[in-house]
Formats: sequence, C-alpha cells, structure tokens
Amino acid sequence: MIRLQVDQKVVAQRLLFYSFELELQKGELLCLLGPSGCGKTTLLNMIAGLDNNFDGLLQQDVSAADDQNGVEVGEGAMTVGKQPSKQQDRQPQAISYMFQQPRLLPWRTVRQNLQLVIDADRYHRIEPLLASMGLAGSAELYPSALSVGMERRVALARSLIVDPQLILMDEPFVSLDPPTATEMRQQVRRIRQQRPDTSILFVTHDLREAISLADRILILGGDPTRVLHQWHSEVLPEQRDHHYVAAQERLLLDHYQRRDCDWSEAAADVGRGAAVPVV
Amino acid sequence: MKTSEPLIRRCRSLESPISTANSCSSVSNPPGDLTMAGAASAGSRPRVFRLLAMLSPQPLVLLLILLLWQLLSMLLQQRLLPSPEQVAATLWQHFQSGELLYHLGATLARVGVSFTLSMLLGVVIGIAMGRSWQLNRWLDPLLVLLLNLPALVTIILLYIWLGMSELAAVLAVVINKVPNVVVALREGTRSLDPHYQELASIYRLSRWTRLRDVLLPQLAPYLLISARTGLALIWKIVLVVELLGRSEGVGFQLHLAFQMFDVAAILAYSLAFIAIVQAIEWLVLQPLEQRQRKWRRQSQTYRHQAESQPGTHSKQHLADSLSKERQSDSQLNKKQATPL
Repeated sequence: MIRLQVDQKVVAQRLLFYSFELELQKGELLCLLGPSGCGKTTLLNMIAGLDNNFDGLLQQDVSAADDQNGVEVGEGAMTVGKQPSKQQDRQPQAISYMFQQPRLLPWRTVRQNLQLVIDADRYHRIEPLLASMGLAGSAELYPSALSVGMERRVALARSLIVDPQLILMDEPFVSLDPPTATEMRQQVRRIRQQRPDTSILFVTHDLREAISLADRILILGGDPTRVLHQWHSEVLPEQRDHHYVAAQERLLLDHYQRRDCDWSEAAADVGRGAAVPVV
Repeated sequence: MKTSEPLIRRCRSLESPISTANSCSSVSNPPGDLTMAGAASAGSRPRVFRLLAMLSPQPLVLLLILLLWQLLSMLLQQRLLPSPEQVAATLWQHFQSGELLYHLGATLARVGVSFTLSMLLGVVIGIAMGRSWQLNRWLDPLLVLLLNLPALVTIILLYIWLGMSELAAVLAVVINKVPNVVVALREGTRSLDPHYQELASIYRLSRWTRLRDVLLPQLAPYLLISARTGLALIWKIVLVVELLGRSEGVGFQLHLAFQMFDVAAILAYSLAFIAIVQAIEWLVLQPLEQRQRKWRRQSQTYRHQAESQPGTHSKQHLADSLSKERQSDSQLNKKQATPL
C-alpha cells in the first residue's frame, strides 16, 4: 500500500539511512523498534511528507495505481509524479499522524479541534466518535481541562476522523500510566477491527506493546540504520495472551539488545531490509 | 469562577504547593485543618484588613486622590492649582461651547489613524523579520536606531522637511511607534511552535484556517501587548505633535492654556482625554484580552463542572476506573491468560 525507498538520508552530517526500504501492506500494523536516534521518527516524517529532504521515492497505493502516484524526492525538491493531482480542495485524507505529544490546539475546545481537520459536511461524525472513545461529555472542554489520557484519546479521535488510509503513531502511549496505556492499546485493537483497511505504522520503545499489537515488527539499528530483525506473527492480536507475549518478548529481547554488543554480527544474519527468519 | 477564589486563597494561606485542582478536593475535608489555616491567618491579620481586601480599591483610590487634590488646592493659590470643582466647571464650559468635543475629536482621529497604520506596518515587518534571519540581519541596526531616536527629533525634522502638515504629524507618530510593534511581533513570530505548523501541514489546513486557528492565537498576546503600550505611547506623542505644529486638537489647546497659565483648562483637557483612553482600555482592550485568555481561565471552571457532573471524567470517576483497572490487572496476573 505504501512504499518508502530511501536511497540516502543525511541528518546532522551523519548518514542515517542508506538504501533503506520500508513497505506497508493495506490494513497492516507495523511496529518500528529501535534505539533512540536510529531514525524512527525521521522515517515517519518522511512518509508524512514533513521531511522531504532526502534522496528516494515515496509511493502510495502501489497496487492500485501502477506506480503513477510515486512522489520523487531528491535534493530537497519535491516533484510530484506524472499525475498533477487534484489536491486543491481537501481530499479524503490519506495519512494522519498521532504525535508523541497530543498537540491539540489549547485555544480550541475538543470539538473545535476535531472540526478543524474536517469539512463541515462531516461534523456529524464528531459526536459518535467521541462517544465511542468515552469522551461524550468533553466536547466543549478546552484541552487544559483534560487529563493526559483524555488528551491522547482526543488526539486519536482527531487522527481517525479524517478517515485515513494510514495512521502514523509516534510513541503515542508513552508517559501514560499503565492502566490508561492498556486502555489505549485496546482502543487501537478496536479500531483495527472496525477499519480493517487502515494501516498503522507504530513507533514504540516498549517491546511488549509492540508484540501485543503488531502484525509485523522491524527492529532497527546499526549505522547507517537498517533492519536488524523482522518479526511477524500468525496469531491474531486479540488472541495473544500473557504467555505468548512473554515468550515472544524473550526471543525478541536478544535481537533488541544485541545493538549494545556487536552490530556486525547482528547484521550478518539479517540481510539489509530483506525478509528474515520468523520467530 | 466565584467559588474558586476562596479556594485558591485557602491554598495560599496553607502555603502548600498543591495546585488548584488538588485544593478542590479539600472542600470535603474535615473542617479541622481549614479552621487551623483560618486561625493562622486571622492571628496575623486583623479583620479590618480582610474587609479592605474584599473591597475593590479603584474607586477608593480615586476618591482619595480627589480629596488630596481638594486639600492641596485649598492650601495653594487658586491660580497654581484650581480645585476639582473649578476644573469640572471649566470642563463643562468647554463642552457646552463645543470646543472640547471638536479638539478631542481631532486628537482621537490622529490617534486612530496613526495607531492603525503603525500596527499594520509593525505587524507585517515584525513577522517578516521574525521569519527571515537574513532580513533581520539587515533591518536590525535600523530598528535599534529608530528605537533610540527621541520622538521630539522625529517630529521636528518631519515638520521641517514636510511642512506643518497633517502628513508630517501622522508620519512622525508612526515612525515613533512602529519599532516597538516590530520588536514585539518579531519575538512572537520567533516563539511560534513549529509543532503546530507540522500539524497544519499533516491535516492540510487551508491558508485561512492556519491564520485564524493556528497563527493568530499564538501571536495574540504579542499583538495585545503592542496595542496596549501603543495606545499609551501614541496619544502622548500625538499631543506633542499637536502642540508643536497643529491648530486643533488637545495638544493645541494645552499649548494655548499654557501660554495663558490656565491651569484649570490644562487639567480639564488632560482629564477628559485620560478618561477616553481609559474607556478604550476597558471597553476594547480588556475584553479582547479576556477573550484571548478564555481557554486558560475557563479550563479551571470546566474542571469544577466536570467534577460535579456524574458520568463525565471527573477525578472520582478516574479514580474509580483506575481501581477497576488495578483489580482487572491483578485478575490478569492470576489468570495469566487475558490479553495484555
């Protein structure tokens, strides 16, 4: 569904990515794990179009339209592919982004924050969406009156209300207390059941969170950053119990921690970006 | 809002670092510690002070000043300081002859025009300088120069170069005010949060929405502060401009009164003008500021409401759900089979 190919990306005079590829299927939840500074957020920003300063190619809807939607990026200049797309008025949103901080506009109420990102003909969706997230009574509140958990839920609601094909989540549940984080993860699972076509690209530091949610996990690391290990599971997210998560965590932990000792060895058994043995 | 005030005060008298939100829960506390706090503050402060604190000081202060004035005028000669009564009489006299309104109108028009012009110019230049590092590098020396240029110099030079014209008058005021607005708005533009910019581009907000919902609220405090200081500065400069080279306006009248040593007229005109500026402050600027602060202040009010409403996410509700979560967590640990 979406394919990002980074030929070269330099950040702060350091070669961060070199010939790196990331592919995301329709309806898939892909987790990115890796040490801080390995470029997880940079990847999200490149996909979101916030960071166009790299050599490479970003393709959306690879299967649907035969490579016509490709966005060629190079030398900081962005040249849109062959189609001069009709991006004048607000189309159905392709990508929404849930930032690490909720980034609600503090001077707008919850309802206004949601209204901001959609057209007036979709305002009727706000009420039911808020209600489904347990925010029914909060529509007229300002963000400063919300708890941290509620703010995250509003941010999640905002990223959902635009009907995205892809949601980027950058450690969205970090610094939440465990029960609230659990509740939010439950919310994500529910969303996936309700919208099976929506893909999610999820960045996290929490291995257990990744295992309990993801269809596929990429462990990033190295210099320049590459995929050290790829994990995927046949077990449906709803059916993963504590035993399963704990067992998988032990397996993955090895790969996750290996970044501290020996990179070359870790990289040897996984090709750069290639498919790797499944746990 | 009214209920929250005594709560905050109680917090302060306890000298605890607890926030307002926490202090709300102390309402239901046994009255024991409240009376203790009350006794502590009552011991150091007599009742009179607390009564004084409840009164709004503004009318009181004005009354005191008026009294002092009356006393002084009785002590001094009539010519040096006429009594409030005489000034009021002069005011009325000028009002009835239409002179007062005519001159006030002329000054107000100048203030209005130069205020609008300097705000517009200052905002545009300030935002541009805040955005462009290069432009800032080139214009900054000029800015420093203009900031330090005495208003009087600008006025005199412009009168010499352009003649005693309305254009020269307004231009002199604008040149004096623009640098202040530029400095404030440059600061505001530099402190814009790039995160909101990213948000706007992710959700493809239109240009107008960006301006109204993202940029303007962030710049509002800076706009307000330059409007505030602007009004105060501009009307003073306008008076000087009028005194030096116009034949109508409050400044011109003050000039006349000065030549005739008519202290009553001087006081009458200044008081009238101060009253008008104060009215603008109360009727225009303060409501604007309150509107801009609404989202901060109301958040507290709403928090109170949310806590009193059952079913919403009040503190109690949150605590409940937390304890429920904890229970389910312990169950989870026992079973070891429920999803994470």
